[in-house]
Amino acid sequence: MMTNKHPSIVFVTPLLATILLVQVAHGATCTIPSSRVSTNESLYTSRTCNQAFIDMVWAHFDFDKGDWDQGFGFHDPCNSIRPLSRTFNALWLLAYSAEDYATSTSDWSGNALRWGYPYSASKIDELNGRCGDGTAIARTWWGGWIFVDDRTNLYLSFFYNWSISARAGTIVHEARHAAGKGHNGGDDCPRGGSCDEKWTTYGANTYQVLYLWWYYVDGTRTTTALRNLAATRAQSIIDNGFVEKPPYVIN
Amino acid sequence: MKPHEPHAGTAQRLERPVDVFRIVIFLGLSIAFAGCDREGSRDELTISDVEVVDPYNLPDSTLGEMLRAHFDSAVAVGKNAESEYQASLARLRGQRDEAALLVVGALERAPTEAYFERALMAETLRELASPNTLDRIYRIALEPRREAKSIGDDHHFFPGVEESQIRAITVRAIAEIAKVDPTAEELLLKLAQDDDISVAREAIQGFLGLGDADNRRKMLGTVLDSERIREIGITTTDPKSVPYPDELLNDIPLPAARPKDSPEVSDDDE
Repeated sequence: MMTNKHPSIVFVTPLLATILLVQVAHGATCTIPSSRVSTNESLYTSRTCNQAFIDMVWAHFDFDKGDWDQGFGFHDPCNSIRPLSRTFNALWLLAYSAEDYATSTSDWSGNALRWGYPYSASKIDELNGRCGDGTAIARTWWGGWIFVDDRTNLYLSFFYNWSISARAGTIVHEARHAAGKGHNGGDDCPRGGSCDEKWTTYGANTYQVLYLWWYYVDGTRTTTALRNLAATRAQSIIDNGFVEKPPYVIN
Repeated sequence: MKPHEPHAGTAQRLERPVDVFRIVIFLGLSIAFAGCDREGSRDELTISDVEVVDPYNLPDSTLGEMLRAHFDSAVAVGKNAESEYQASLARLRGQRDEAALLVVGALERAPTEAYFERALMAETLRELASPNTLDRIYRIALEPRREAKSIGDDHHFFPGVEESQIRAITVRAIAEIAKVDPTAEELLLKLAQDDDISVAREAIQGFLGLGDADNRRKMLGTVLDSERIREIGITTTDPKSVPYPDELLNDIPLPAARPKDSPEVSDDDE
């Protein structure tokens, strides 16, 4: 009988039930867009299909099997059609594109090309593969204590719309968010979202540009084509991602 | 009765149900909200029905095969990546006009969302610099920019910005063609007036890069005021000169052993 219960329980029980039910909502199901699957990355996969490399990035970025199975590639880590392999490819580029690449995650010396990997490995709490809404690239949650699970989710457009170098730059971008730096420019920059106020707030856009810029200038074990595309992307972020446009011209 | 004896405490709690419920409510809400931004079930990705498609849609000819191999070489990795890429370009330049026509056709046909492949094709047109493709490249450079707004909370994808980058690369291709075909100069002057700052910059740099800079600056001044040119910015910056973040170093050592749950690479894979 209701009269035997404290009044609060009448309200609290449904509230708790609702919150818990929301948490166990089913995950999404998505399909790889067939027109977006190319075989181009097999050359990268020949490098990333290596147990030692996989073990290294698996530990550095706190991958979990549960976030990369069910089609995302855990059981097929060398298949460049799968998101996991395409993520490994971006991490390979991030780790080894400097001539004197860092050999420790505590080594943040040199330019962004060199510290891009150790910085990202140190800041990103966990890296997850997700479907997203079909257009999303990535999202990072940070600053959590018990209320937020710090993590970075990568979505279909990350895996299938972008080049390897663009993916590497995105990981550096998300690492800056994971370090606690959100966008502070609202939607007041030319692209209308993910805006940073200015270069010297050293937000995610600044970090991403620095990485891509130095990849263009100093990138090794890669091609002029990928370096030029990285420069174009970096310039595009300079032109469109800041409220106060930095006066920089990459080439 | 001693206040801290178990029975006493129980009795006291039973006599004050509000405290019990407060504790229950607090703990319950803490547990619930602790996970409120966590994810429950994982997403599932279906690939069983996926057909691997050539995003370049090139003909099954010898030249088509050469171009496919070239696009593969453009994203190669390793110490020989650049030399092999340049060797591939040299082979294509042996059939410059035919190759450029195939590429520009593929670029025109490419699905909109193939941003990377489209950018790579535009870059190849820049490398080939065939005057035969000038008109078609110019039309691509003129493509109207799509709406560049963030989509939802999962940000960082801006179709308009992707389009802008492809257009900027095609303008660079026109600038290369202008070195051998004067008719491209006029197109650069038109593109210098484009509203898209990235497109306009490439056109201005390309135009001024054709030589006789003083005279060309005067010509540029007839279509653009100096304030717009200053806003666009055309002087290359040394990345060593830009302000750099100064973060404290953290000492995070490499893992000593293989993680327990990392995926297995089979002998067949390696």
